[in-house]
Amino acid sequence: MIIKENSESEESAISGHQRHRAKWRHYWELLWFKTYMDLKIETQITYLGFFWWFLEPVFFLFIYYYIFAIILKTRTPYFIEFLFVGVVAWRWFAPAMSRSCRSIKSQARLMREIYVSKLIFPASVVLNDAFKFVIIFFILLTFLAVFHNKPNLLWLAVVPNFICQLTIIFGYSFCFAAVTPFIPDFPLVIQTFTFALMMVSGIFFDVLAAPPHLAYILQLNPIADVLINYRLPLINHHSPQWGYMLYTFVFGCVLNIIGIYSIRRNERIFSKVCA
Amino acid sequence: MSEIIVSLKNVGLCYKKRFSLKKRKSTTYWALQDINLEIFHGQSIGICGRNGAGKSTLLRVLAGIVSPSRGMITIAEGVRSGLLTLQSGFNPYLNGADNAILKGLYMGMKKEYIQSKMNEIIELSGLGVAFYNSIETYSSGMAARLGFAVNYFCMPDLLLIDETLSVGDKQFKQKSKLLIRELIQSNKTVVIVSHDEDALASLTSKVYTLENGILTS
Repeated sequence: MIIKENSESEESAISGHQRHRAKWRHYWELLWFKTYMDLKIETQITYLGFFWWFLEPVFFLFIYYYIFAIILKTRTPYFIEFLFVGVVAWRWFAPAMSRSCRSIKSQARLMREIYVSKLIFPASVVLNDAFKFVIIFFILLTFLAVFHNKPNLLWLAVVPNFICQLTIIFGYSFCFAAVTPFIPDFPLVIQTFTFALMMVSGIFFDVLAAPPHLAYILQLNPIADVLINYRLPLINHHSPQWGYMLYTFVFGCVLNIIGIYSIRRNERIFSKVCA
Repeated sequence: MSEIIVSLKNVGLCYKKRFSLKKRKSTTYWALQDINLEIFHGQSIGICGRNGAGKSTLLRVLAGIVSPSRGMITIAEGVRSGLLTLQSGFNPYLNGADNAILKGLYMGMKKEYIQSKMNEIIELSGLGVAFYNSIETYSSGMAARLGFAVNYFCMPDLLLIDETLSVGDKQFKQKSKLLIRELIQSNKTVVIVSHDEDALASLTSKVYTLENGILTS
């Protein structure tokens, strides 16, 4: 099973390198355009269009606020701020993971007729959700600035944390998207996995307040670390846990390597198994 | 003789039936058995075969969409091969222009290039003002005409055509037939598959027959 391209002379090796670069540039162009078009489609299939990108998270946060602050009358200081940061960050993980695991399989028809790198499909799902996350995140920052405290320099620490979160989501998405075409039951497994992650990532409780040995285990989950590293600078006026931030980044990079390798290896197999 | 752009050596391709708890035994089906084929630059080849003979699978192997299960395929460097597809890659909620760009990008072209060809795409597709409406408002003939027009301007080096195209209304059918004929007679490398041997013989310089996954000339 070999697909190879002829390259004989040294000259063609140089032009091969250029072609390689041109190919990657083309992937980027396709990725951005596809992401932009997917967002455009979302605005066109609903009456309220892009207003939903604002309305939905605001409704969502309001429901949490209503339950925890008004019905349950939570007394823990800053609990609402704590909860909002957790929920908002989680709102990027959850849909990105469940949508991206079907992303390659859902393009079966296109894949049968046109050769295109399958990396594009999960990547555009992640970027699409990243865009929506940025909107809801700014709503959250506004809320914190109004009701919690004034923005300060520590807030800048959310930028590297955002990059770590993006890396992890890309990593998980590539890995999951690569498996689903071969195992159709996989999305159901992911559903359960996501639910379990939601419970242990410290959205509703403080991982750092747990007994040390338990906190250590919980912090092996990079999503828990991402949540902690958003909360420390935004709510606790504390610098983030840089060591754990590095850990999440490395964890994400490893997932990316595994996921990208799996997809690249099966580029010409997916179209056969998805038929 | 001009250069070889694609060569297939002992290529075979099998489909596996998926394993499930209900049906534990996985079955394999060899759609292509042992294909040996060399395609030269500028050549036009016809492949004739009955339904299910493996014609479409062979085209997908040539297009680099699927990799063969055994054997070797060698594609000359920088050669872009592609199936002539009409409606795939289109999204019903986007307008003709956005769809043309998206499809062009899928086919490996640059966005700038497709934008520069937009007027010609509108003209060839004959869609007029409807071009800027979303595709869900198109009839299937209109969508196919748009597909053909985008394909025409994003033409790969090795063009693979599945069956005779019946695109759009009578007038457009004639237009597209003429364009395909023009392509074949030009310097393009073309592979056409069909079940109609006579039509292939009149269009192409060499006709092969594909039966039970084996190619004979």
